[in-house]
Amino acid sequence: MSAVMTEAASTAAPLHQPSPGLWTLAWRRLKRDRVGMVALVIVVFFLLLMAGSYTGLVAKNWSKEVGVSYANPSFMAGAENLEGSKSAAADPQANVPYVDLSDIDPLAPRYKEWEERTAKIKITETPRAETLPFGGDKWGRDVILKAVKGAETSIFVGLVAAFLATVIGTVLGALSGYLGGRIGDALEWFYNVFTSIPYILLILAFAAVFGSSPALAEYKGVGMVVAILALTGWTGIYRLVRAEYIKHASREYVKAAQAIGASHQRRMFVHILPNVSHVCLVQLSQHVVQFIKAEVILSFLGLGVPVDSVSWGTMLAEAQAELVIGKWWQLAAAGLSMAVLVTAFSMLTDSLRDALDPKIK
Amino acid sequence: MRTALAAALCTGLLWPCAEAAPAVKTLRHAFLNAETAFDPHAVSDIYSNAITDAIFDPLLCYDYLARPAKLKPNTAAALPEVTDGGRTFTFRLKPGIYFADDPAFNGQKRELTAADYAYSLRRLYDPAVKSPWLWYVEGKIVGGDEAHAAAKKRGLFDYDAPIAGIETPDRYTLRVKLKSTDYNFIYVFATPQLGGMAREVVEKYGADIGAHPVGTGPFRLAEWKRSHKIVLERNAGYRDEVFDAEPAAGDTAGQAILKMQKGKRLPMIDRIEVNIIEESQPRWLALQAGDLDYGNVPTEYAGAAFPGGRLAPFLARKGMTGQRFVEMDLVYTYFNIDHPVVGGLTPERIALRRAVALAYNYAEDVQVIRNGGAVKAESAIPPGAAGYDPAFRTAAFQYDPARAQALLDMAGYKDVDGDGFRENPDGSPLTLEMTGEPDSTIKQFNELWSKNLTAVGLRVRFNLAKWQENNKQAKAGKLAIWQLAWSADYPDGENFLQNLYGPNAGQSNFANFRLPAFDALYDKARGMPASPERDKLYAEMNRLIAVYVPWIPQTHRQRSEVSHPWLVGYRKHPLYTQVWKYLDIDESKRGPRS
Repeated sequence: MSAVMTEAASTAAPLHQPSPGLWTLAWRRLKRDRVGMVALVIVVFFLLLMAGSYTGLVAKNWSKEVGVSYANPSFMAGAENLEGSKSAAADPQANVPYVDLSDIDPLAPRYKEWEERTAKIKITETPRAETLPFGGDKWGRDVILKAVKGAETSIFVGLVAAFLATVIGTVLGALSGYLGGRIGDALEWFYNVFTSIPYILLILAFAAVFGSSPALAEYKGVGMVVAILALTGWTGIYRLVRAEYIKHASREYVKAAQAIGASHQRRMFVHILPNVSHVCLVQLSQHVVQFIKAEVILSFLGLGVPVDSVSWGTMLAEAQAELVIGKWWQLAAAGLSMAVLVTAFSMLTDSLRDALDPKIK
Repeated sequence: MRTALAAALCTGLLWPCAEAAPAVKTLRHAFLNAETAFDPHAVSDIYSNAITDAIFDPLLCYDYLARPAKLKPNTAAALPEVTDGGRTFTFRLKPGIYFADDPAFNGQKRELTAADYAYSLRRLYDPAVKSPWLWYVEGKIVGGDEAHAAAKKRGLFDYDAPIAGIETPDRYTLRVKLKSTDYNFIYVFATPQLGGMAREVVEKYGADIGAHPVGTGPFRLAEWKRSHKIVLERNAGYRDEVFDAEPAAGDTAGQAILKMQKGKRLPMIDRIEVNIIEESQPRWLALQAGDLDYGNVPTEYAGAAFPGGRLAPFLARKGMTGQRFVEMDLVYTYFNIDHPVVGGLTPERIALRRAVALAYNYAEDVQVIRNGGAVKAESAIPPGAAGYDPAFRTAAFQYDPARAQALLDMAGYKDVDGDGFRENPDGSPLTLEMTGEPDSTIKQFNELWSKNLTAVGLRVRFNLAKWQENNKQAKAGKLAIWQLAWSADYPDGENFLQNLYGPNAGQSNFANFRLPAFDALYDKARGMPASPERDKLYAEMNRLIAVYVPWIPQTHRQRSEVSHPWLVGYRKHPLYTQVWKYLDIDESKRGPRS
């Protein structure tokens, strides 16, 4: 009996099925990684939290003083709170009548108008709660809302600064490693100048330049922190990416790309970059953590987030003094949030590296 | 090995070779801000002053235990003879007082003479010194201002040229003549700025004199790591002085110290180690652990250390003792009256400053930031200082955000562009620039200022720098708004009010407040003894402050001092930053150091 190809068999196996791309394969491999998926969910949750906080959907009223000073967490309702149990202000002269200033006051002719305008302004006092779900800070603000709002600043600073530093480091590393020659020498010299200065001193130098510039005074705050960290944090990434590009530049697939007429730019960023992306991703994750911590230092030096804002860094700085008087909840809220995000981010990066590594199938 | 065994034997592990040497009595203390230097005429911060006070000897001093503070002779044989209607002070020095050894003396013992005090007075006038204490003598001593002006013109101060108001008729007599009667001038002779200073030392070290303080006081500088550590050692050649004091008969604590210490030779401790610990938490932990012998409880922890005003049991169990009292000081925020945004004496600028004063929540300052460790200030003069009036209170320095908003509206500071913040009356953007230091306590004040000012629609920006840098900028008149504290140099309200006296602009008058009416009252009060009439003039000056608001008086701090049981005879003095000369240490009570 001769073999006969059936109609069904011929249609089930198409002749030109496209092979899955790098990112499709990576996504398939990531989906199989349970730890990676859990980490991804956590990171996405924090990113959504950041977006929600930014748009005002969550933690909009974080700065509202709703509790007494250091309000206890609800599950510690009966615990003593010396700081929150104060009565009226210590003003020994509170009942003394005011002295008259009208005979020397340039504003005296308008006293009546002033009083009339004052009478039209209503100031409402919010009653303060003795306890809050996870406690309050010194000013009676809800620590959970503060941690959510702090996440917005910290994740933004960490992610954006790390992303920018990675981009700078990768582009410069690629140029130096791939092109070499005089461009490579110049970039190496530039890198050596940066790394010859201790990291913290370099941050301080940038901070001093930015801080003393009247032109930049308006932009003090989160944007400046991101700029300082990005401009000082690219060197490690540059060094690693450069080494990878030197290694890959002479490989067969690059020569094949050259043979089919791919430009330098295409070879560098379309062919080689995906093969070194795991290095960039690992560096990115490490720098996110590093920059979240660096933000604390800059905030302490007056170049971090403004006083009317909050970040995990400023929360941890405040908690430093609070721990001694037994107020641990701000440290717990900021510390736990930070630990969960950082761990999840590191694990996700690890999984992504595995998923993206072409040698791991 | 043999060497080690011999050492072990000799150190008493097996038996003592000789009688053990007496333990070196070392006092350990911390400053919360770095010192600047130790030239008493050039430095103005209390930390540097605390050191110069231990090294230099003024003619007069305050009794350690008398309350209220009482002047008594120090290197002078007696209080000065005051003649010529209160305009001439004649001091006679105790002979036989010598400077601590220094290479400047070429191996010779150098006796303290009246010329050394005359030199100190002259040095205040030297423009090259740029003394922040010039106001002590400016416009006061006969011939002094002329010498100052001539030196400015020539670019060099002639220390040999006579000044009519500073005379030394003999080796041990100093005569100072004033242009007019000044009843507070006597207090100047009890400040470290008027300690005897040897001219040859200043000339030897030149610009580096701040690192080489040489005086006749109880201690000498042994080691100085700038902004880190200061070590003082007992001045081996210190004059024969024994502990004595005059506490009030009903002052049991003072009487107990007197009974315990009377007749002991001063100083009683051998060495003082002062570390700079700027952050509150490590300072407080070091204090609790016994790494510091005494100190003020940082405001963050004052509530926990003194719950209900009494020393906390966890501190009492360590044998620690506590003292709580309102200091003779003032925490205030000044506006630079020369500043283009917040300065000026026009009604709208006055209204802006008044609104800022009304927007500030004084109760939260006291209760939340200071944990109850302060009392609200109602005027520029603190309790305890002559001229303080407990019946003085104005509506200008009360928290009233509604009045603040109404005043800003009335003065034309309105939100024109709808961004939630007010603009200047001419429509230009308005941002208040406040200066501060990058530490956790100031951050809390900035938070309070920020929320209070935002609540009334004023935008504020904080410029943070080290205190020393801010101090320089303030002297140069470059800051707009800065929160400061002033501790009394002497127990008179004039010491606080002089900070707003027009001629002191650029020195102690950081606000650059020049109001003829204020200056006239100040001039008049200076020539009067403490009296109800003078108090009325002080009250008038306080009324002018409330109207023009060059300052916002915020609080008088409550000191919460704790000390360990091995520190003997400690009692905080209302005027002295330190009282090391009068302290003793019982090293046997000190535990092993970690």
